[in-house]
Amino acid sequence: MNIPILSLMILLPFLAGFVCTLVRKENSENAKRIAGFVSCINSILAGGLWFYFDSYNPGFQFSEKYLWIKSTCIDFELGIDGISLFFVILSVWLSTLMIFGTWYSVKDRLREYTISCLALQAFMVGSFAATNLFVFYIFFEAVLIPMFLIIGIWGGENRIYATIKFFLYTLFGSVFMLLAILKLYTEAQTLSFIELQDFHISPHLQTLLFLGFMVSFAIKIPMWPVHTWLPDAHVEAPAGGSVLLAGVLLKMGGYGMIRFCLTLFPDASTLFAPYISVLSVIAIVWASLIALAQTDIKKLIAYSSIAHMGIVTLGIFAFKPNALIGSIIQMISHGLVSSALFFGIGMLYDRFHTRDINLYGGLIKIMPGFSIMFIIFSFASIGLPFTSGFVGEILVLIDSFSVRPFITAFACSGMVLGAVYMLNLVNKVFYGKLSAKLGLDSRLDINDYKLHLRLRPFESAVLVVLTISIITLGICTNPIMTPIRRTVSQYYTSHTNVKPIQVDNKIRLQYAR
Amino acid sequence: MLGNILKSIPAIPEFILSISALISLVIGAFKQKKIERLIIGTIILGLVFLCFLLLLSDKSEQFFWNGLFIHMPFGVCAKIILYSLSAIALFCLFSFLNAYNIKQFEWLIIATFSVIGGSVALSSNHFLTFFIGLEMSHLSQYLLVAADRDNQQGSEAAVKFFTIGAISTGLMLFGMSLIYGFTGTSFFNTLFYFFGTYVNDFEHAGAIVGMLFVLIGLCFKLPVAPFHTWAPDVYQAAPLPIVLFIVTIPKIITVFSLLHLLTCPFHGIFTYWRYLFVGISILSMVWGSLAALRQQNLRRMFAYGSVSDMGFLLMGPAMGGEFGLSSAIIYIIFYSLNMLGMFSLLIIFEKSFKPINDIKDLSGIMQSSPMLGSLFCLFILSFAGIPPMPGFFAKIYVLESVITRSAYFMGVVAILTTVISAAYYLNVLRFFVLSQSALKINRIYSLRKYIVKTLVVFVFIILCGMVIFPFKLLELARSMAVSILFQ
Repeated sequence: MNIPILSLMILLPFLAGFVCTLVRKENSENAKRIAGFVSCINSILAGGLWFYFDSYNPGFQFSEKYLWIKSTCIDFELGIDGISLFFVILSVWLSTLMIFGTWYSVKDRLREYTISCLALQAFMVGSFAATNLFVFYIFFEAVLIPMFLIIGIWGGENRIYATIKFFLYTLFGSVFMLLAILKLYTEAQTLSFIELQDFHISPHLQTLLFLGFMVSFAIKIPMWPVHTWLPDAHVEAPAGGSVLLAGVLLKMGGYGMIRFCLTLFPDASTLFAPYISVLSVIAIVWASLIALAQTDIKKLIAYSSIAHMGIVTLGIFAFKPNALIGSIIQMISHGLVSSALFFGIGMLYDRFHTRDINLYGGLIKIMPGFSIMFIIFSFASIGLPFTSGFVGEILVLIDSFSVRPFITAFACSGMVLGAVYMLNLVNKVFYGKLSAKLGLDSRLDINDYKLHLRLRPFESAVLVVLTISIITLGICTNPIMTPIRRTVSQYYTSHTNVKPIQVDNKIRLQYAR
Repeated sequence: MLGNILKSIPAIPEFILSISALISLVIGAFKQKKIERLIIGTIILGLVFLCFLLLLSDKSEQFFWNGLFIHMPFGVCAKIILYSLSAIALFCLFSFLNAYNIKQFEWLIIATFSVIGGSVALSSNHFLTFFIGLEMSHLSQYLLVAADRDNQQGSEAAVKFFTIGAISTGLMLFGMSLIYGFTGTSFFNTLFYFFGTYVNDFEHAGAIVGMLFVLIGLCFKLPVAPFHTWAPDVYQAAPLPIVLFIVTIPKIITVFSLLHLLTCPFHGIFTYWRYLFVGISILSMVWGSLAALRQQNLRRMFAYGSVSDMGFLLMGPAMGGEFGLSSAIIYIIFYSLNMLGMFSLLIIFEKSFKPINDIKDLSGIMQSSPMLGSLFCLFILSFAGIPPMPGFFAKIYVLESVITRSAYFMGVVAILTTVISAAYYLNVLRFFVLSQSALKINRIYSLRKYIVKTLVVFVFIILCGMVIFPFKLLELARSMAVSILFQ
């Protein structure tokens, strides 16, 4: 297999985007079709990636290397291992679903919308597949541009404030990463990740570099004190934008923490782990409490995302193999679940033009299929067994409990709160009396409503695909667990200096007695 | 063979350019109609020819006219860059001046004289030649700003520009005379040895003061804070094609002559001017970006933005070394190409749709002209330094030189001001892209647009090419830096 499949997956959407620019304004539907077609091809390529991926090889596969800035040894390097494989697949599949899921809802400036989607797809794949820090940084930042446009042009009322806040917030974080990358370069004279793994960095420098990287990833994921851009961006973004924002963009932060912070700066990660764990627990509890008070459905899901990402960071910085695997699975599952929820909200908004929970009620009577799927998504978001949300959460919590029991206990309370707000949402929106405030035509009877509000083919297809994948992931996790486990355990054997932190020895001793 | 011509006869490029400019002045005076095309054709062809001549030329060092004039590798490369960018800038000037009802053909020739002056300054080995070249370049600019004679604001701006320019020239001359008085020479190569030997000699402290005056005079021309006060007024009031010219060519000339001065005569007193530039660059990055954040007028915003960008550039020379200098060279090339493309698009928009004064006047243009509009967005993002865009790569080389010297404070200031500058460039995009006024604006005037549009696309392709295949550019900049550092 010598096909440069990764660069193909980056180039294809770009080419399609270029073709879309040639489409005339009158026929801008064609742009959508081109985008859908190319994304399907890309999804098939992503499937091929999974199929041909050697689960027993912990190193980078499908590696590609093109000379770029020769004199400085910065090359265009791509490659995926067990960690990045599923993020690449997730980003391609979700962006494909995004194009089909918003097939009917975007009408204004359709051509530009599809071009932004395609560019976003290419940049996301690039940032997960890059094995050179410089290339990673470029893609990581480039993602901001199409997202800026998607939120800013097709967003809600307050979109300009939200999109500029989003852009500047993330840019502010990532320029520190840029400085750290440049410093790393002057130290090691290379930015190739594979070579950097064997490069020893002095602990003091590690601390500085870790902080530089961490500021950027913490804003991206987002962690507690720097999360304020997320609710704004989510609320104002169109459905498709929210889907990719929650589904993939947040994962870049977590992915970056695993790939770069843990691997390159193990000492500094150990040093900062307690603080980060505390911040993650604050994020979990705080965001859940705020989510309880929300009346805007999108805002509620946005805060729940912050809580879920808190679990991810808790797992990453527990320094246990299973916790790490758990946080990766949690990220993938959150990618599916939150994007499914955002799709659902988008469809509701298209039909009723409101996101206020209090205005809804009794939808199960008129949209039964949709309601059932939405309820499944909500359960997955709570983390019910047999859904994908459960697997990651439980792995993280078990391993994290053995390291930091006290902190993890608090995190568990966040889970309960999660159940409270999600069930509250389900209860208010789908059960009870059919709300009169939705502006439904009272002359129609229930069957007419069903006909009137039924999901259109692509919409239901997207939701069904997501439901199936969420449940499958909850029941049989092995296909994605094996490659991840192999890479993660390889990481733990090669970085033997990463040990659980000794802060909890006293407590452990108490238990032993 | 061609290579030897340049070594045997002094100042060929300058002679060819000035003779052709003078001849076209005479022809233009007697022949009234359609003369601009002929003139611009000769000048551009001349510039391109000279580029090839310089490319082929033997690059070893050679002195002419008792050492007043020098043929050296750095000067040759700098002139190649200057001529090729001037060819583009002059062509833009030519195609847009008509649209602004500035029909006198002399402006093109005056602009050419500005290029000639810069080229003289770049190949000088004596403060006199240097001064004459730089003044010639700047006097032409004062005239150009007042090109639109019916525009009061333009004349006012020209007077301001002239006054401040005269002050800066006076400072520079005073500095030169101080240097001459304290050292007894004005030759660059002699000064190089002088400053290399008597660095800490207290008797020659006056020469160091003179150096400060000369450098500050150059900072006035660049401009960087706190010497930038003329820039916003001039940018705002001068006709847009003239602004397009004066944001690119004089900046290239000033940056290259600054590098030449810093490395040739003032190399020995690195420690003295280094802190001056550290201070100036930090000040202008912070001041420029904060002031630009508050501007309503688009051109004033670009003026302050350019102050901030020039501050960014000055970090390179302030850090010194091969990396510092080559990064400044790369930055100025990217910057001026970017400016050329962006201002050309702005002129096209202004002439096709409506006058653009404030930033909010940009709204609605994207809908009416999506292709050029998206190109404009790419240029703006490039100014903001967002990664896949060319401007990011220009910034990265400068930042790398800063980090190599472990100047973390500067690095942090630089990136924070980059974020601030992203804020005001995003503000442009906000009105340009995000505003949903479906205002259909009619075309009111059609330029000879196809050539210009092609030129803009060409400029963007060059920029992208320099990003994707950076090897040649890096090599050029590196060789230029090495040739002036280790002469």
